[in-house]
Amino acid sequence: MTRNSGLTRFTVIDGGGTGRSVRDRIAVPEAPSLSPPELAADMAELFALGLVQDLRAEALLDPHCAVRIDGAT
Amino acid sequence: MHELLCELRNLSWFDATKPVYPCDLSQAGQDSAALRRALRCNGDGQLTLHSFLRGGAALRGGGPVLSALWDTDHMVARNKSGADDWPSELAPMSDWSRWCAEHSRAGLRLPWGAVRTTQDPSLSDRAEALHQTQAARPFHNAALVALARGAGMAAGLPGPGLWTGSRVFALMAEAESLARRFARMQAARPDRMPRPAVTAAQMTVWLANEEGRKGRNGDVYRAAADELAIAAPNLLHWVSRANRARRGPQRFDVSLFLPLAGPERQHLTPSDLAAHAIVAGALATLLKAVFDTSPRTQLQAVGNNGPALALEDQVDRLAANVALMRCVTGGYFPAENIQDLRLGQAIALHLLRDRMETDNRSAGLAFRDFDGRSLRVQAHPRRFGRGLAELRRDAVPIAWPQEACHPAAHLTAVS
Repeated sequence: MTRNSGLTRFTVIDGGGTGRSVRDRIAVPEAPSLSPPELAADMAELFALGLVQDLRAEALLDPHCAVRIDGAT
Repeated sequence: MHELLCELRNLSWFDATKPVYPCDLSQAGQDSAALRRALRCNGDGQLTLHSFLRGGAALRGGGPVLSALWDTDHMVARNKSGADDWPSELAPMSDWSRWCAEHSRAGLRLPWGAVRTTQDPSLSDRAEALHQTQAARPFHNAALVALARGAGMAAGLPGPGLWTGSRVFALMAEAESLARRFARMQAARPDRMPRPAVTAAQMTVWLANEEGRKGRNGDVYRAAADELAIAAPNLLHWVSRANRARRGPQRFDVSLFLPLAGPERQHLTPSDLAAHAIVAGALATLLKAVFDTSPRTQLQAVGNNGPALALEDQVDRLAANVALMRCVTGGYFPAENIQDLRLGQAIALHLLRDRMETDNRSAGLAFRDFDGRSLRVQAHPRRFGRGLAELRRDAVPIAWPQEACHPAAHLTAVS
């Protein structure tokens, strides 16, 4: 809001939060920073899920369920 | 499966005897790394098959891996309305039903109009189907079914007429739009994590003792590859064999390439699912918050289908399943899933806050977050203008998540 009165001009720059949209209220988080043990664990999870991807989801909770790696096993 | 689980447990991150990070969620607090570790473990700090398949959410109890909402998800014939914008909050539900059919192909299942999705028996089949699924569709279907069954709004919301099905869908549409926007912003960030396929290829080179390209975080990747080789050698051996079986002869003895898929599935790119976890986090949170998910209501609404359709639990599982499927096709790290689900949750919370403050009426919403903690959004009316909404976690007031700093108001005089 700007008001001119004589030789002095007042300018109000409203940076308050009430007028901001939801889009402007949310900050994008930084990418996760993984330590070597966590990165190893994350990669191991991806490898493990890749190995069991041909199983039905219900079978995954059976510890005795066989996982076929290739044609031989 | 047991041997596979043992290989994972050998890693220091999952080793219960090395409590590097607290395994109790209540101790984890704001430490995101501790939270991520706690989500992978059970109450005793051990990785189990259940916790391995959680997909980034603290699911209550045991139960099946997949949400029952997957089986009720379906596509309807697309309407040719041609409208890009979503209807208003005041529009009738028929308008929203048409918009859903056009936008996500969600709709009430009718005997003559529904097109059933393919039944997916394996994880990879389900993951491939997710790549071809509009991110919001399972949640739109769940909301439509809940409304058709007469599910009520949360008890803490003000009287009838304000919180309607149309308003729920308007919130979901806005949340999805914001989620997609933030997914694009994340993808454009220079500090974004490299894709797992790139990391896997780098690890293959590290472990072959060949000179790899020196990228940022090179030491971290090398240390992680070394830990995998030492702690989980059988896992690497199995992955190498699987790669040879699916991709043919390999140059490296230890071939850790991702995804573990043959040519028939290598067209599934991570970008297909870039927004899915954020959308899932946002829409699941909205459904949990707005619908009445009290145990009494669930028992009445479930009818003959048994307790498996308790809305809050199934919606949580659905969001977690979306995150899990992103890992099955090797496109995203579990840590990214955890973060994206919570970003979606933050989007939903800010939207609810905005609506409740605009309404300027006394209202309260209570539900569980993805970490299993109870959240409450409480709105307090003011004499004029907007009300004030506060957020409580386990009855303790907390700051709104992911809230961007805003500059204070300035008064400047220029003569």
